[in-house]
Amino acid sequence: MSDDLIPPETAALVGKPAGEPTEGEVLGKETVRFAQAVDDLNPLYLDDEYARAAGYDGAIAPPMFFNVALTGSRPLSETREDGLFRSGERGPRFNKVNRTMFGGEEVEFVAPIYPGDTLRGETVLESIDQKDGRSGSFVVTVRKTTIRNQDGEIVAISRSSGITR
Amino acid sequence: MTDLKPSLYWDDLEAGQEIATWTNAANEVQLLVFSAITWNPHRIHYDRDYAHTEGHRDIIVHGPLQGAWLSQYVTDWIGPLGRMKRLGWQNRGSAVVNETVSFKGRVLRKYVEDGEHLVDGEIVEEGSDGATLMPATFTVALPSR
Repeated sequence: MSDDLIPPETAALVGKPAGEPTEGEVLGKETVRFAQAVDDLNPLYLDDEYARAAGYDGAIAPPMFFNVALTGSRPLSETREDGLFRSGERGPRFNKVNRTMFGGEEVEFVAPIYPGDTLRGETVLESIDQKDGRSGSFVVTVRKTTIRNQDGEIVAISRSSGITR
Repeated sequence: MTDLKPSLYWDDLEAGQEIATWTNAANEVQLLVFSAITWNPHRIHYDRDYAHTEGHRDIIVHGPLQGAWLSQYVTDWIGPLGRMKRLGWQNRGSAVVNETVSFKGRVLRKYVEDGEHLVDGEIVEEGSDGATLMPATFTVALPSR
């Protein structure tokens, strides 16, 4: 496998933290709004008694909710023309390729997340690999975020991949 | 006191078994409330003219909303006593506003690990033209008889 797209200083980032830790509270109103926005009105997210009958301590956050708690708040003055917030963070630099697209996500759901929890996400650059396909060479970057609650218990592990070509 | 009975047992599944197809679509209102709850200000999710300038055929359904639908497809199938252990997907394409998408799943294998009765499966989310938008895989733990 070739690696001419990955300069040594970028390869050296593997295993290192990617960005500052993110933190946020799980608000019951937001877990319900998330379920409503998805239109997934599962009583596990809405009804404490039902969730207890299913073996939980009470209503849980929808599985994909955790990013809502971890997403920071930013003023509108920091948005760009396309609506996105300006990023102060520079991703890894590569040779010859620089257009990065979201590739996919994989989440391990380790323990339930409850309203009232405070989550903390710590991200490391897990891998940077060059792939040489028929449509040309590209780089796959995987970031692993470990999400813990206020007791230090891991509740989820999320891996997101970016494809740079 | 609510008494819940399993709606799906590990014992009743076998590899290759299909999961009932589910269709869904998001209108402008749903995209708006999803942008709001996820604090996502990207114009491609509400500004049709802008979405065109980025090469999209219409307003785009958020990747994480389609991820949440994949989660919903799995958790509706396994019922309240099942546990989703893992869900992963790839973003191959984007659904647009009001496009009917289909979720088709099947069981890949079942096994017992650390005392848990587990099932691996795969899902394909297809656009209205049948193109694959998001291929996905999952692992669930289920009650056994």
